[in-house]
Amino acid sequence: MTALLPALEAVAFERLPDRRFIARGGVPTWCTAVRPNVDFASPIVLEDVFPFLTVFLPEAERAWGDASSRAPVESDLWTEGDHRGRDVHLRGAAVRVGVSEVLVVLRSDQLFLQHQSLLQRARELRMVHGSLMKQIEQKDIVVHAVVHDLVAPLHTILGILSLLGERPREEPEAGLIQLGIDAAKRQRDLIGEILDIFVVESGGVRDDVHESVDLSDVLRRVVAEREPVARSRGVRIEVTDDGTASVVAEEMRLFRVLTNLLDNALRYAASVVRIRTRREDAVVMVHVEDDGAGVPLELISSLFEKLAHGRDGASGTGLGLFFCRITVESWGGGIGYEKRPEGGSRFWIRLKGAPRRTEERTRKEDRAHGEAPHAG
Amino acid sequence: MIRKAKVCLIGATAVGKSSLVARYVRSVFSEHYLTTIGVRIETHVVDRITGPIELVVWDLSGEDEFQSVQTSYLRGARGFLLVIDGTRRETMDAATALEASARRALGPVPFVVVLNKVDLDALWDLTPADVAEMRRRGWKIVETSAKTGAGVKDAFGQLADAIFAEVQPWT
Repeated sequence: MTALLPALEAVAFERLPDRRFIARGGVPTWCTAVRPNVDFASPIVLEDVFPFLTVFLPEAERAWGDASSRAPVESDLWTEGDHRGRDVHLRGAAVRVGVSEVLVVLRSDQLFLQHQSLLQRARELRMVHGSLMKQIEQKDIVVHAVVHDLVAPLHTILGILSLLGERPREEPEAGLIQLGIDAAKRQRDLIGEILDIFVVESGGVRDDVHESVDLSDVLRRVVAEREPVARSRGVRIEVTDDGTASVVAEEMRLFRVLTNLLDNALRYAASVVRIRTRREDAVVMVHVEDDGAGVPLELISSLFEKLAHGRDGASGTGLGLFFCRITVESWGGGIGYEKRPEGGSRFWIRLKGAPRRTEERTRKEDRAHGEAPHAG
Repeated sequence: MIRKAKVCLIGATAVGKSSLVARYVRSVFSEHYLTTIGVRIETHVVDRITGPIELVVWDLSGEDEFQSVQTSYLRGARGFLLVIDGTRRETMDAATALEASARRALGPVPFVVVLNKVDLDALWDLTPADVAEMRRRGWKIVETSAKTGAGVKDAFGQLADAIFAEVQPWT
């Protein structure tokens, strides 16, 4: 049995009373290959032979000191080179056997390779990820610059078309000019959306927004602006809003978020779009519902992702709902979709409620008078 | 009797610590990246003006989100090389954090900052201001390339000299 430990690529050292160690049960070949000048038949100072064990011996002492514990304490892996320059991967295990304090050193190449393979893969993926993110960032900056440069000539086009439209003209010229103005406005909105997404994605939007926005006022303006579109499509817009909700948001972006949701609903509604606001304790819910066909099941999971395709595969830029999500989330809110039981879509956003205007005014007045706010 | 010292190499992952040791101890270099698990220990005798010195080199696995440097491995080290990849500026931040950890574990022992991969000139990411900031901290800096061997002996040699110098000028 003296060949058992060497066959397992292990060597067992027993501690002597003078704290040196002696190898018991034979020595594997890797031992003499790693330390050709060491006489393993004689007592040795183990930490001189294997310097790594200087950090493991305090752990080993604990294992040897606890007479009740028979479980070995294992070290981390370490690597040494043999006399031919080949790597030998080792680990230690301390165990008490009867009265003997034993430290086993095992060759663990297989375990090492498994650890290395796993860790290396993770690190390589991380480096690839980092490199791709850098490339995407650089590309985004270029795209942002290009899109930004599209704005100035577009404003010129809009200005010229507006001037032409102000003069009395016969049809079809007047109608064509109006078509041009509408197209230019759509492009302006799209550019605004792209630039907004860039700002949000690059961390340009503060996540500590404290602005209190009058939701009802913004909603009123959004509906008024989109009313002509709804009429042209034969769709009715119904709003249920008690008019008291103030929310934590940024007014311009909230306008765009609500416009996006309403535009979506108008695009797919059969006859009616319903918008409801409801304050629920600390949050305000806004529901935008239509009576269309609803979102196909396979599109739901990617509905709020960047460049997600529209329900009809052609309409929309794939940016609208993505913009809504990252914007609302940057205010600490949320967005979601659910199919209405009676048919059609329900998109909702959850916004943090800001103090009601009357409450805010009362608090300001209290502070002005140096009084503590009233409880209850 | 030959003087002996344990020295450690610390730094972020893939900065080239193992390649520096391979170049220094075995005069070899491989483009193939192999991550270090735990620690790799090698011994090398370096001849200095003051006589031969046996360096027991502990090449510690890199610090990142998957694995952290075991500060217990630093125990007993007489000095260390703090390795930075000059083509990745973020490794300077990791080095700054590791230097503080090493100082807590070891006290004021000598160390040399190694700006590695100097052969990759076109990809160099550190600015002159970064290097000036490190010098302002009193850090001794050596530029190296494990690939070409440039500066490698100098880095280890300067560390060995500092460890056995009566006056340690950059602790």
